[in-house]
Amino acid sequence: MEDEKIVELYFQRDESAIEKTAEKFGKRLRFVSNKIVGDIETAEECENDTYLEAWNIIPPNEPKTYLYAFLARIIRSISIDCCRKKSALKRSALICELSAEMEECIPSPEDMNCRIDDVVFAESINRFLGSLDAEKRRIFVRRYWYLDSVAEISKAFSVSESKVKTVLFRTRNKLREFLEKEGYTL
Amino acid sequence: MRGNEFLEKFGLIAPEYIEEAEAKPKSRKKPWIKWLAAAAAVCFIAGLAFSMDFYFHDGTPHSSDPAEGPSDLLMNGIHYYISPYLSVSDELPEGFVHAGETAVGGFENCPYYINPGIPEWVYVYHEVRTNGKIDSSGTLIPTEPHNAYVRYVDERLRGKGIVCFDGNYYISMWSASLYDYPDVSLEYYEKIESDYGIRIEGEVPEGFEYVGTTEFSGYDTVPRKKLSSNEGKFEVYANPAEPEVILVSTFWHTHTAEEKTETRHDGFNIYIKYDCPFA
Repeated sequence: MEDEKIVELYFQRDESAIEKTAEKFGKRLRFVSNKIVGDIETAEECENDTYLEAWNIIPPNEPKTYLYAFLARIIRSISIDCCRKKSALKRSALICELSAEMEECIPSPEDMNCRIDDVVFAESINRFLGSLDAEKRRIFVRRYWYLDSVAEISKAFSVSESKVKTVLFRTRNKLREFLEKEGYTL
Repeated sequence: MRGNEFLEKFGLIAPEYIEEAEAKPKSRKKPWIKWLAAAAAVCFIAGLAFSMDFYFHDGTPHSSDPAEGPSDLLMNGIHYYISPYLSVSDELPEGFVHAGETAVGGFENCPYYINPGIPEWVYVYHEVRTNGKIDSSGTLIPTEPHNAYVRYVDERLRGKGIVCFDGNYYISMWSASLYDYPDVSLEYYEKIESDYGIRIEGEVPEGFEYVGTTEFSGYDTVPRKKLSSNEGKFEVYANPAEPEVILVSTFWHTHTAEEKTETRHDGFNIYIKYDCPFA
């Protein structure tokens, strides 16, 4: 079924919307979650929570042209949150590791009180990503959106792990410089 | 804002970037890269020792997270990873001697072998499902499960593109490590990258002259001859005024949305002089 039709089912409050969503995207969503939580049962829980969240926020959201990305965003957020809450999950260490790496992108990480507008921030990040060449962008997104390991990225892109680490390191630095130029004091 | 919050906000990136990154990367056209990809696939199928705990010389149990890639073995403080070229053979290579037994890939009591003359390699005898040879398409030939001698390589050498030129060692900017066991300093790397980049396309830059074609020393080896490479035969260009850099001929392909067909690019990879730990 077309994404647009599925979104219409949500708008009509037709519960088959969830069934159609699971049919079309369930496997991919579980995969995204499982990579984060590292546990298939937990990933399935996150998947179910994702459908519930989608049911609650469509409408007003209307992701007719980007339904998968919309759902993937939700399951990513739920899965990360799940990792934090279930510290027993082995993958919670990964979240700490990635958080530490992302902190390198922040001009003033010690400022705990500052909060920024999500939409404006996302626009800035998107401008930055748009300035990268495609391969660097995909590597960066694979690491910090999909939370892939360096080894996985290395294999997927047929490049050395050293190169992946170098690309990530330099891109993080560039992002920090970019945010500074954008006037962010996070 | 802290890193964890930043990581969470990164989830808000545009849908097209999420979709773009999910797509399978276009495979590269270099035959040896294709071989590596095939090796990775065969390794996966064969269920090699990628996610197992490994016990070695120093008796230190060393476990690895399956998500972090191939298992490594730890010997005298150095990590050895399975060769990216999946070098397997039915015969134990000359000069290697039995040094003990270990558990790997679910198989108990796998013998392992060392050679004091080649400390950068260790061979482990365990199950594989390929004979290590490649067919005309560059794909590893699958076989029935059988035991073979599998090469593991010192991480300071594994995957590194190295050229020996007139007694000096140069490492590809693509493979130079800046972490763990850094091959070069970050400052040095960035200076060269700023001056030359990692790879350049087009004609030979002014001042650089052809100095010869490398002799191939073999994969996973340390090239030691006057002009040799552990990646293959390539033309090399040098500039006496810039002794820190050599240019190594290469080509690559692109196929972007704007290009209707695949485009070949010719150019040079930048190699920088470094202190090779195996020199």
